[in-house]
Amino acid sequence: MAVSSKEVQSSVSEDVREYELMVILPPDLTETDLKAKIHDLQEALSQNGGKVLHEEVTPVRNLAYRIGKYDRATYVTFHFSFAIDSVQELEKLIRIEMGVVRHLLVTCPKNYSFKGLLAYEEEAETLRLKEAEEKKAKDNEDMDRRNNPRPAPKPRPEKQIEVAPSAANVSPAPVVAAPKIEPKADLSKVDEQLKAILDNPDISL
Amino acid sequence: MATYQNRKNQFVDQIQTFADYKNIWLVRKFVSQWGRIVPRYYSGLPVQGQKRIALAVKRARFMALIPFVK
Repeated sequence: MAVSSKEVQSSVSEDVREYELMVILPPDLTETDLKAKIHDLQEALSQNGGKVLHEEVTPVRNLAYRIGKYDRATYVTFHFSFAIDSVQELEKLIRIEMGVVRHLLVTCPKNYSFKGLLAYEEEAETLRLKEAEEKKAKDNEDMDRRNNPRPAPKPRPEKQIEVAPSAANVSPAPVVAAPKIEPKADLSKVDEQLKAILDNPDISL
Repeated sequence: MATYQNRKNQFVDQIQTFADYKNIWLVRKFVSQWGRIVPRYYSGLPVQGQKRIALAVKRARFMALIPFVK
């Protein structure tokens, strides 16, 4: 796969850059063959002033899909610095001569700290456990809510009944009583007027 | 997988500068159950973050760390 130029380049110096190479090796290699192959790769990476900074070899693991005749493989990862001009030659060398199943060479971003597949998997395991715990706690909470009936609603505070002012307290009682009589007098007047209208022979109803 | 309801993404900080294709746990968070890259509408990532994640997913697929299709 081609080197991506889109990523932010880390510039150790102008001619040297940091790269990461991941290689898939066949699972049927003997231990000595595997070591020899890794040694070859290291030598290839350390030519032309290159330097291997980190290295990781995983045990044989399952591939997500079949590549050629292999469904299991060994992953080897190198973090190294290399001359920019000769990277393409290096890639050609790996592709043609190293007998790898597949390889991926990428440039490293700025301030890159190497972390291998195994390290990431370990981290993922702890995160997965944490997630599972959180989910369990949430489920338990939900179950509790479902099992326990709702608490009885709180009784509403009773409305305070306004106490009528006692007669001894306030004096406005006679003032209130006075207008009550007036409407009666008014009503009798109205009655009289009505009667007069009814008795009036000029008005026919 | 991210869903529309929780699209405000919690992994934004982790991919601020770089998304590593070797971090399969993280990469899987941005892949649907059929193995497709989750769109930004669901992932809730900023544009640059989505680009980084897409690149990481493609690299992980190429290296047979995650499947192309399920």
